Amino acid sequence: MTILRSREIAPVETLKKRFMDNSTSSKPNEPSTPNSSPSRNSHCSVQEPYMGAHMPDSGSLSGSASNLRRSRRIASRLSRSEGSGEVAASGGRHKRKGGSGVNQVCSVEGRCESGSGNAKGRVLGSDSVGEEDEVSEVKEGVEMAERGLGGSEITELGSKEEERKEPSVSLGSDLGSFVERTQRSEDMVTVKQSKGKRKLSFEASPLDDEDKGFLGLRSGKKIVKEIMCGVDRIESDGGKYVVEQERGGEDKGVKVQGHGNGEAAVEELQKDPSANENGSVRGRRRFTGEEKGKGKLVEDDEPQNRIDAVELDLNLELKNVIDNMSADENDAVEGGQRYSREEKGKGILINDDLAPNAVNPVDFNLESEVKNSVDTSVSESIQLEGNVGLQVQNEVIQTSVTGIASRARTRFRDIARRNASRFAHFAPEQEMENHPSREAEIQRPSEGGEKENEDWPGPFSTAMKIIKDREKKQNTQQNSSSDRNRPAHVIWSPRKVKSGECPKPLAPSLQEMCLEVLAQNGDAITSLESIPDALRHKLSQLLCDSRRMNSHILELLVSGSPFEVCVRDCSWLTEEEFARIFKRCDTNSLTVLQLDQCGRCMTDYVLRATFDMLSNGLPALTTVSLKGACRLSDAGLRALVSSAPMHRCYAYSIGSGETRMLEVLSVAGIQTVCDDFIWEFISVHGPTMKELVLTDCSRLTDFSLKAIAETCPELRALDLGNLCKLTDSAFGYLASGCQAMQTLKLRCNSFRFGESMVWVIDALEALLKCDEAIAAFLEISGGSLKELSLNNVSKIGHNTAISLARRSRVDTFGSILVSKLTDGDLGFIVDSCLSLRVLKLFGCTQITNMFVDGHSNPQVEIIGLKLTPILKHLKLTDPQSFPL
Amino acid sequence: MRKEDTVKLISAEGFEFVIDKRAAMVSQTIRNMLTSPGSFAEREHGEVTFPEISTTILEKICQYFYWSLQFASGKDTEFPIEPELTLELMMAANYLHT
Repeated sequence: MTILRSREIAPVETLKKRFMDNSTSSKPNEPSTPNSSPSRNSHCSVQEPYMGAHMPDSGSLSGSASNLRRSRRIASRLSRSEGSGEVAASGGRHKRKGGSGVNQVCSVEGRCESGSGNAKGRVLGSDSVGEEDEVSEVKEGVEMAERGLGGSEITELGSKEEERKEPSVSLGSDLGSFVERTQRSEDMVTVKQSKGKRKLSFEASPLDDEDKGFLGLRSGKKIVKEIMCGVDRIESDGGKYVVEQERGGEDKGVKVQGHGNGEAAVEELQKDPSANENGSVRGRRRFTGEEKGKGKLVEDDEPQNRIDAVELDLNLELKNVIDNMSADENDAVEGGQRYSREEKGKGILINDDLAPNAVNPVDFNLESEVKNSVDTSVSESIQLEGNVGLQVQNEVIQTSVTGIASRARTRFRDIARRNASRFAHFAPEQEMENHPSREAEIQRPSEGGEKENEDWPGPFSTAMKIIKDREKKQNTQQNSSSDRNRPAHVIWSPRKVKSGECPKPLAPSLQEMCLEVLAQNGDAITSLESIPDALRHKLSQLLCDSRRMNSHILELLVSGSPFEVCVRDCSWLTEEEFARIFKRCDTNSLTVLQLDQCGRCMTDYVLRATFDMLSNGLPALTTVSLKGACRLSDAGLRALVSSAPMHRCYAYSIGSGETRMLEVLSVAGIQTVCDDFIWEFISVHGPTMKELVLTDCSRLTDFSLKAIAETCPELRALDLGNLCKLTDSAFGYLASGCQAMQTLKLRCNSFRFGESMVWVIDALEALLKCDEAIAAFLEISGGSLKELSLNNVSKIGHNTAISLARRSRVDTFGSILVSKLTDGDLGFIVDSCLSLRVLKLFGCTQITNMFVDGHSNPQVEIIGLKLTPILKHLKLTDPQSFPL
Repeated sequence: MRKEDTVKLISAEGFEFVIDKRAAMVSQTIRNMLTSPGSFAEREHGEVTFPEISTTILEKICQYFYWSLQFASGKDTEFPIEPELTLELMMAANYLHT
């Protein structure tokens, strides 16, 4: 596809012949080629000058994009402009390459990329040629040139977005050149145009060619595919996105910030030579890999909401990638291209109202994973990358479904663009707070402190776009057909066959009935010997719930040599009783001890006294749960721990005790927990930490998340309820660092989502504000989503229904107080999600019997519509049931 | 009742309870025994022995089976459980997956 760049691109000499039709400028960096070069940071010396300056011409990819990619992109763009044919000519090689080649050329021309010997620069030279080929090849019709050029720069106005996105995206994801390419091609056009507009102000002039993310081919494989999937033109929301690549601290997260006219200057974070460049994964996969790791696309276009900082938290990998990249010229080229793509992507993102958050889900972490996925298909990439937006885009691009990919990209970009402003979020004060304390220890993004807005398009933003597009299309259709009313997106008609076919009521099980009888007559029980632990727990649970638990039963539970003692509610237990009962307890085989709500009885003194009496301590203890032990201090906890080699410790309301092999920690409710504490704590326990509960610790910011992500590779479950200061970049961190994440709980958080393996979401009001966001989230994560609960999200609507219906793996869908879901929507969901088992609909008064009787999914259990026993369905925390 | 429709449950003391197959299928354990592929003795002869379950408990369990069938067909009655039996009944029910 030939995208004509409105922006004239300074003649950039594309190394590749392909591109070089018209590229005039010669390779060497020429300051004069403002347009295209900027992307190629390496080459362009102009980069610097570009900082903050708008690219002189259309082609002027903000030189700030030191990334090669950028230059590449520019080059590609230029080339594109010059002759679209170039792209195609480049052959099947990665499109990105082509782009990058172009970029390179461009950069060479005159991109004044920081030219700081970025690998890119090198790459550009050599790669551009190669890149171009690649680029063009990949995309079917995508002009490589476009891509190349577009990548790095923040696609300012939509059109460029694609390109831009690429760079940013590609950072992490190795979507591969394909993605880039596709993006590129599409972006090319846009990029070119945007280039002019986009001011890539690269603060960090060290735009490494390493492409920010796009190029960053970590493993040299794929460069993050910029999500910029050629959404290109479509997205000309004019959003610019500023992709700031944050230095992951590792390599160089150069943050380039584009400012200026609000157009997002995607700065590809340069990942230092290593590919911190975010997004601008120029065609080179490898770059992206690297970049991904490092570059964080951070857009910091503060003044403009639109700019979404996409933070590509490409760590580690990026570094390596970059290193590789530097060595690899080709990579650079690609990177450059990718960069452009990233840039595009990013730019787009920025432009769109994508909140940085939105983009963030795409995690540059992908890069680490992406490394290998050079040419993974889009979908695959998306999964891998986990990077929202950019990466997704990249991936999308990568898929060989060019047409679809480009469309998708476009859509994503569009969506991203559209949502950028909405999602933009910056809280400078927070950054400042944390900044001083952490400065020394952790490399923070140089710019603006913590500000890590990852604006780069990732799978989430991409999905968002798709959904928005869908909606848009529907709207247009609707507008044209007047008789259709708006809400009727989902058409569902209830089953005609009438009830009488309702499933037969199941008789209560004998076991349950017996338990109930036992609970009623607890005092009459004389012994609980030979009763299996599971039944004991159930009994104790029933008793606690009905408040019939007393010391008699506790004694029974504790008698003998129990393996597990679980009492969910010890509020009735006094200190004396506790001491008395446990003194006589044979704890030799006790492995699990749960004494929740023990505030009244559990004090340091009592605990110590009790343990002194125990002959052997607690040799077999592995799990302790002492929730609500508000009177217990560190000393007490230490005593407990010292008498048991504990593996798990739920220490609610307890300060930082000493636990050696701590795997689970909960500091929920402790308001004073701050970033420093978390940082210190996990620096000790991080490697073994499996579960963290940080609910209500409202002082925590993204920084903690970052630290957690970096040091807790085994983290399986994370509860982040009520952490209002977190932004989407937190997700970026998580996605990149916590690969084993299985359960994530969020409440009242303000971010948008990315993906995860299994998500349990409690989306209270502040959470997901729009239907499309949820739908987009579902699109991305739906493959593994098991349970989704959307409490009080008043905007759930048809898009969610559609997305949910397509995610057939959802097991539980809870909608509390969701007033926009209609019978039709629910019927649609229920009939399409064949694996849906439980549907909770508390407070949804608009659901009528038409849905209840008319749906044809026999396995769904609907809870909450009538006055059914509610407690039955509550999920009780069970120490054994944690992801561990 | 024909022989093919019935199952014999034998308690620890040797008491034999002959019940309807449908009733016995309420217990997941018994259902698996009787329907699993392969020729198990239970399936062959239609007899299942429970050496750990006493007679009174097994009798109560059979009563539960029938009550459960009635419940499923609409009759919503109470199933009385004597407290003295409850503990053992619960364990037997746990074993029988009912």
